[in-house]
Amino acid sequence: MAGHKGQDYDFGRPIRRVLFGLTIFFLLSIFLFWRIDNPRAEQMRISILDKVIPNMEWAMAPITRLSQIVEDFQSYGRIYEQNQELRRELQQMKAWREAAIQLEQEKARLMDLNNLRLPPKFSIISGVVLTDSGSPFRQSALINLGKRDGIVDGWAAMDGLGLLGRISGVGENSSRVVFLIDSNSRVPVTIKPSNQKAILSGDNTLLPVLDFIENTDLVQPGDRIVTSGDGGVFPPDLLVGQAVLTSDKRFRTRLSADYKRLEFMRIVRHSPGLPITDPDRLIGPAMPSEVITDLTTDANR
Amino acid sequence: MSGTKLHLTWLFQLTLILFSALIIFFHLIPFTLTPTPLPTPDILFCVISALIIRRPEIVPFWVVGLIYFGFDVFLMRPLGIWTICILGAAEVLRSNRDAFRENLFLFEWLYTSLIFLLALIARQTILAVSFTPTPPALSMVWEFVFTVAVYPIVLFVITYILRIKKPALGALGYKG
Repeated sequence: MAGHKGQDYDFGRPIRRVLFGLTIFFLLSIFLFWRIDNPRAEQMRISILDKVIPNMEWAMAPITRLSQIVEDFQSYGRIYEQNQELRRELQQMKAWREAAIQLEQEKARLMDLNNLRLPPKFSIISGVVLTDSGSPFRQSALINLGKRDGIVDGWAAMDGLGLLGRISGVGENSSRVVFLIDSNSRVPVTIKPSNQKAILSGDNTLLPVLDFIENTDLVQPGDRIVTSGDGGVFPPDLLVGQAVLTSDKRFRTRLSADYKRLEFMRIVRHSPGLPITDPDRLIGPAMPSEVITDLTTDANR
Repeated sequence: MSGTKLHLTWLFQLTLILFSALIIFFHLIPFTLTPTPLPTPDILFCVISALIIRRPEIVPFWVVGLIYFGFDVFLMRPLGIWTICILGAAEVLRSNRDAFRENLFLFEWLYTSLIFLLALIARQTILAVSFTPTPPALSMVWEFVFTVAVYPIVLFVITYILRIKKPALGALGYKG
């Protein structure tokens, strides 16, 4: 029996071995390519996902909806406590709103006195979450906005309130948002009101760490954390969250954005200012943008 | 006769590929976007190793490679490395297939678990050597534990519900 079987395999076996070896070699070279030229490999991955995922939406939507319904249903169980909690919060909110209105008026008066010019407001595009990363070690999501909608790598993604992450990888119809909680995420932030600079680094938990704080004594738990705009990737002053002090004496951030119920996100259109190439560009009135682009192209030539 | 058998093999392969597409699909659905500390069991490894031991012609190496490369691409993993490890593991199982001729479930379970552990260690080593950020070691332990725990269930489904069994002793003689 065994002999018969062996005979049967003998014709195919060397070919199979060669093919197997070639496959392993091919996979190994793909891994090396991924390791060496990571951005290009990720771009290829994005373009594959871009072809497939938007076509799967019809199948994913009902299941996603169903899971949301189940979650909503679970929350009915504690509707009374929720109601009480909401009432308490509403009371607090009223107090805060009063304070906010007063501050707003005061701020408007002061700005008027200073004749201050504010940076232009950012415009916002909203998108729907298509998929999550599918892996417990990568915190990201795919959204249904892509090159078609003018999305650019590095733009900030927010939910209604706080910063969620940034665009990393843009396909034609979809793009990937890497969250602040991803272990590869590093964002320069400012801690208000002490204006301490820090780096917010994700570590796969819902509370990212505040690294490299200049002076920890000036930071209190509960301080507001906003983006600092250093590095030119994010616009400054986007709300990130609040500082908390954990039991290991490290400052972490409770994010304002709610990752639990994320269906939509807003992408902040933001173009960083032109880099200053010559010192004389600082002096004199602002030039029209056409002139500046001409000058930059001349300088590059 | 041989025509129907070939046809059935194709059908099995197609089903396997569709099943793995379904698993990827379920991984991608955004149930929750908060970080989950525990990894999911590698159900497909259980299916593939159980099939290799029983009906190796259903799972030639290219099917395994295709499926796992799909996993690597869609689940944002380092491209290709887990595929290589799984292909190696499957090849070891395939060449030692004769050892499972007798129906010793415990032996089979231990053996596949050991192979899976070796594959995990190989992946971790290659990632560490190439300075790629690796998933934390604890989660690797959990992945191993879950996968080992899921193996008997998968085996039960394959043997008693799908009725895919090892060819009986001596059956190979006239089957070819």
